[in-house]
Amino acid sequence: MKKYLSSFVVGFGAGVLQVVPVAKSFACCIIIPLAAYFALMLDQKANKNINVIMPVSRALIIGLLTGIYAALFGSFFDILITFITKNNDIIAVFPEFQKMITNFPISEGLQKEVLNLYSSVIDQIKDVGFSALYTLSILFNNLIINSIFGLIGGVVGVQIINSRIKKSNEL
Amino acid sequence: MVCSRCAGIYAGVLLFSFYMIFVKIKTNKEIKFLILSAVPLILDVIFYNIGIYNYSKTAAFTSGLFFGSAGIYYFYIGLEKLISEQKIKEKL
Repeated sequence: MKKYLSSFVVGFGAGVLQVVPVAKSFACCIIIPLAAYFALMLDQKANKNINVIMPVSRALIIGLLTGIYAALFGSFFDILITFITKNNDIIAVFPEFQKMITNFPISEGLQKEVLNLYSSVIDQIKDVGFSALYTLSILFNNLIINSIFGLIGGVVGVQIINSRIKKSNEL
Repeated sequence: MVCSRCAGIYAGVLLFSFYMIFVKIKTNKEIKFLILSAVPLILDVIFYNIGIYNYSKTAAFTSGLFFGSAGIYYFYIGLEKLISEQKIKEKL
């Protein structure tokens, strides 16, 4: 655990940013890869390996863990805020979603079923502030997307760090 | 379903990975291109959120396209390094 503490710390920060209104607009594409990069830097500083080239395989693990932690914390905060406020983004976008789903090339029966499912989620959120379906979907969505972007951040981030180390070693 | 911005990123990844199959690209390790490609994306989010213009799917898609194209290039270099690391490990 201590070995990957940097992922935990940065993942927590990224998870918090995922629920901040403006910041969450680029949560997956900017925040998570950036978090993976910061986790790598933190890991180097914590292990006092500032001038040692980091293997890509280790960066991959740190990036993946950062993504997973960010997904877990982000989902937790999202669910918590939904529970407290009994409101969510999906309630606001429901009218748009209704319009959009009617333009989808799927059968009317399926459209009705999707809308029923969606409205049941909204009703549950409005009534008790919690929906099991919403919780599961947000958790799995975050876990998959954040893990992928965490991996990408790890792979790209390690190149930046290693190129800096190489430059400073050359000097 | 994904948003226009993410769709742009994925489309950029797909298009640029196809491009990289057919065209050999010089290895450039400077990260400034990745940062530059992220600028339109960040500006689009900021401008939309402070109300300079309304949300535009085209703007979101295009800004994502740039970022995705640059991102896959750096990811590809990283993967090459990972594979070479693994090969060295296997030899040892």
